[in-house]
Amino acid sequence: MMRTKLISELKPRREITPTIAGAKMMTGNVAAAWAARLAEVDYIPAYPITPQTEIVETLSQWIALGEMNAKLTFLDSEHSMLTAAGTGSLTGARVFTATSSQGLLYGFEMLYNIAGWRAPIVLVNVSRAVAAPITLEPDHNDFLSTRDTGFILLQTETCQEVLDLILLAYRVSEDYRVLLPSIVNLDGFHLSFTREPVKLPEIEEVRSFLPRYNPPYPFRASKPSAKGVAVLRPPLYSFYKYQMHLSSLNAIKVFKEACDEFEAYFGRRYDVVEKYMVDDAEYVIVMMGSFTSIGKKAVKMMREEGLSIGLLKLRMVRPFPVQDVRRALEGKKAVAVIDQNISPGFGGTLYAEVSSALYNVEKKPKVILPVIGGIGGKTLSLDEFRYIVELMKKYQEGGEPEPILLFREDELREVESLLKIGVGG
Amino acid sequence: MSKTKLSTIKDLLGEDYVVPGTPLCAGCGALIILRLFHKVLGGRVVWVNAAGCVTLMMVYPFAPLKSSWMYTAMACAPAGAQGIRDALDILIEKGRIPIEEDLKVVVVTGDGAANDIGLQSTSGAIHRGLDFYYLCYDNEAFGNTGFQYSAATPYGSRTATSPPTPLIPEGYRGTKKDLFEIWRAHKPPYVATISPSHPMDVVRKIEKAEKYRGPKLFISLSPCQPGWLIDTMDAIKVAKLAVETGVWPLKEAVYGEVRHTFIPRRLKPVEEYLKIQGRFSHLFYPVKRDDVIAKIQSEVEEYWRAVYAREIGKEDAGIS
Amino acid sequence: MLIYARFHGRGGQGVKTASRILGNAAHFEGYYTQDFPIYGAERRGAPVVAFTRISDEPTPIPERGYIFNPNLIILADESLLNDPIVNPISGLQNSGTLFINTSKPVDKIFINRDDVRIVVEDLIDLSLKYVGKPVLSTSLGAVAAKLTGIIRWVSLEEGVKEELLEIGIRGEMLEKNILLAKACFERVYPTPLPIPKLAEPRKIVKINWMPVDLTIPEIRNVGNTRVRKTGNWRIFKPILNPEKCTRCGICVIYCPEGVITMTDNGLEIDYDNCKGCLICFNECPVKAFNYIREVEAA
Ligand SMILES: Cc1ncc(C[n+]2csc(CCOP(=O)(O)OP(=O)(O)O)c2C)c(N)n1
Ligand code: SF4
Ligand code: SF4
Ligand code: SF4
Ligand SMILES: [Mg+2]
Repeated sequence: MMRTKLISELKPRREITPTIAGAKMMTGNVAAAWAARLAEVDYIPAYPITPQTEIVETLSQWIALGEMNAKLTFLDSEHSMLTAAGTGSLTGARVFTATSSQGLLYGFEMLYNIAGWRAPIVLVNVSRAVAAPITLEPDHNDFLSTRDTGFILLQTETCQEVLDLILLAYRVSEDYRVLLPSIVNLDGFHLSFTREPVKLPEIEEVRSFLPRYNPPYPFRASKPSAKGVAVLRPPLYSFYKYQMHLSSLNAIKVFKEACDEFEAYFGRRYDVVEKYMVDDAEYVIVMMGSFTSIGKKAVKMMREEGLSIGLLKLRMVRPFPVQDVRRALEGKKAVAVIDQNISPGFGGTLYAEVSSALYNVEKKPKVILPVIGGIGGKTLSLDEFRYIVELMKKYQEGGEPEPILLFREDELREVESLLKIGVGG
Repeated sequence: MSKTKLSTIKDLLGEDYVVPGTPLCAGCGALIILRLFHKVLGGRVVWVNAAGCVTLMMVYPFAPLKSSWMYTAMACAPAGAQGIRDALDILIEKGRIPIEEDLKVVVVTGDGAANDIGLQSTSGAIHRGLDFYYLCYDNEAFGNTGFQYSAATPYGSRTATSPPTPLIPEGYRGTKKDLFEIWRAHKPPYVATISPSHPMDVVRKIEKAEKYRGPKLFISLSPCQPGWLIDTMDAIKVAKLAVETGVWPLKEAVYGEVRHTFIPRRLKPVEEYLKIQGRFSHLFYPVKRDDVIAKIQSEVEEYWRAVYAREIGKEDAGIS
Repeated sequence: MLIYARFHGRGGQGVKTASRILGNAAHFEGYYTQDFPIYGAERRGAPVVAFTRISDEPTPIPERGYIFNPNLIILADESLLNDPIVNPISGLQNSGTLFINTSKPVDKIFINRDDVRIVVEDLIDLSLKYVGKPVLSTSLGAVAAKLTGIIRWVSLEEGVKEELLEIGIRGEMLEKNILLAKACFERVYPTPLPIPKLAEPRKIVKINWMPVDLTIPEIRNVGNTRVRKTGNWRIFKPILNPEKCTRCGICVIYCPEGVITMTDNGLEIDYDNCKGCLICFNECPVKAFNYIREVEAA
């Protein structure tokens, strides 16, 4: 616990020393915009939607001021926006675009196309739960709905990670061993509108880490090509799709290589997963996104109380880092997967993925507990994490766990009182 | 492309950019207009396509077009054109590609894509002033999916979803959407209707349009043998009759100002156009539906009265 | 007992309807039956294929998809016989039956197999006689039904009726089609069809990652379609009389396929790809074109 500061200590000091040297306070949205600026993207097709809009507003402003040289076009919809992103990329531009929930789904048809075209754009999705009912608060249903599209999917926890992962995403997407687009996800509100110190890398260093995109066969008058063509022979279609799969799998290795270089350049270390007190833990909680910060705090507190617990954060969701997940979780007594999404009639998406990764592992955990929490922006607290641990212990004794929703008594009372007003009587 | 003006058919016999061996139907009107359009525009073109019959020209590993091609999806060919145009512009501006590598961006879609599902992206592209061509081949139905009615199907047509029955003897009861007027309302530099039967009219219009930067849009009547139930050899004949009966006016609008490029001295009766097409056969057999034919005739005349009055100052000039 | 029938024809000739007529007839005869067509990108006039499977097991047929090992092949158009892409007799079982719609006698038909039975009949002629139009669906379906050797006329008659009513043919036209079906049914005779053999075992391979130049689904060898030889779609062949031609160029502009080229020596027609639409014939202002019926594949 931090000691409360005395008034005298809060007085402005003479020399300014920010928490992190060289860092600037900014929202996740502005960090995303900075990443696009530092990546020197050529083309930004755009369309507004809360909570993403600040990204394209920021970029518009920089371009209007002449601080950034890129073409920004506001399209008539996300469907059009994504189409233009894909074809712009096939013409050889480095393309950045951003959207959120309803917008992502509105353009959904084009996600499969962009990936199938092998157009390595980077799309930032600012997570927002999907209507109906309509809301502005986040969960991961929008992001995870894209998991079969062929995009590389990356998930962030902090504003710094937003910036860094976008740069890494371009490196991975544009690598010819991969040549697939990426989605970098940040949670609405909890990252999009939350300010944190973010360190901006030097442009020269970014240029050297992320050289200019070299498109394989862009549209040029001297080299005609027919793209997006129909493939009606079943073996051929199957071949192309499987090649996308193999290329996506390559992204794990390419990402790890890029992370090594990234660390050498910028001093920050990333991997496809992040292990927080995992190695010696008996119990592990798996989750992703900005709420991981809350999870880490809970884990730390329970550790202090003597519980052998850790947290595995998924940073890469596609390709799914099967090996890293297996090595992190094998031999554990129990694992709980917190899904901040819901597939009605099944439960959570990540639970199925983590379980399938572990099924063939010899020393697989006895219990894999499916947990659903944080839907529609509902936050988590220490109480929920304690409850998860109780359940993990209970199922160690036996029984078949079913997905449970993390819902507190005070929240139920709140719901009941709202229902009373809304339904009447 | 040669910069000299193409003034007769003989000037059009040079390089062709559509190679034989397409999978489109024998006698396909869309292919005639596409080939001609390409001849006039030259080879430095990227076509941007939405789902329709023409999509199936390019099925791996075969590409009859010698130019570039981008199939997008049904709703968004103009947005695909935007992405290519924008990318070419910025890359040329940044000096990353030489101007010689530039391409004309040409959207090609059917009437189904143009009239509703793709209308939003077209409207957006026109409104943004995108520098592109749009060729809509209008076969007056969803041809690729088996000739169901579209928003461009004319009153009285048989389609797979408007079969003439004792309950609905006239077939399609709706009316044809006026895409020309919808496009024109955006006041783009150039909009025109064309027909494969009138190649020199097509040539003059493309040459005129080429002078403008911005959206240049064309709607071509496109006889469709299996849908219109015509003989394959009649594609051009039917198209000519459409023009001569006044059913398919040839016109252009420069920044919204309309002018007809072919004004029939005397309109032929629409019956001549209708009766050689199986899709209208129920208007003639087993009983002749004079009421339906008269309705079609009177709509055509109403249109032309206004044109004659406006453009030659005599309202019933060509009307018998 | 199993009948694996494969129908080859051109889009618009009615092989799908024929496969359904056979399907209906076998169904009415009390057999488990399955029929389906395969559509490609090709439009009207291009080769198409349809299938009917018939079984005497009392359970649904446990198979799906293309029939690679037919014991009965119905060819709607003789011009497809030697087409290397369509390859209509591929997989036909030893002592299976090959039916060809042709005006030629059977001893004028040459294929590189001597272990199959060939049956011919001029169905266009019969169709013109009974229905007044060169429609093939009913006649092909009727011939196929008879050649299976297991379908009685009553079942076929019901099958034709049901199918034609479904596609909107009724009244006098339906009656005419039934007479046509009857005539076809009486014209041909079945021999027992062999039991379809299973395909030779084939190896399963592992697909490895390949570099992007091979794995982006795009065509970089553009303008490569002459090899498709769409000339085999042709039913009528345009013939130019160079004496009459004034070299006005009109047919060059109107030819959808672009197979007419103006050279210093006059017009050249690429018959390998001319689809025979006859727009050239119809639009030539001096009637310099004539046409003839096509028989062999181009
Ligand atoms: C989003 C979407 N909806 C439906 C389709 C199915 N579809 C493919 S082509 C087509 C008809 C196109 O009609 P039109 O634009 O007139 O072109 P034509 O087929 O007549 O050439 C339809 C409905 C599709 N490909 N995509
Ligand atoms: S269906 Fe009509 S538009 Fe489509 S390829 Fe055939 S003729 Fe052309
Ligand atoms: S249209 Fe007739 S006259 Fe003219 S070039 Fe063709 S064949 Fe010759
Ligand atoms: S018949 Fe005539 S118009 Fe038709 S493809 Fe052949 S040459 Fe061309
Ligand atoms: Mg259409």
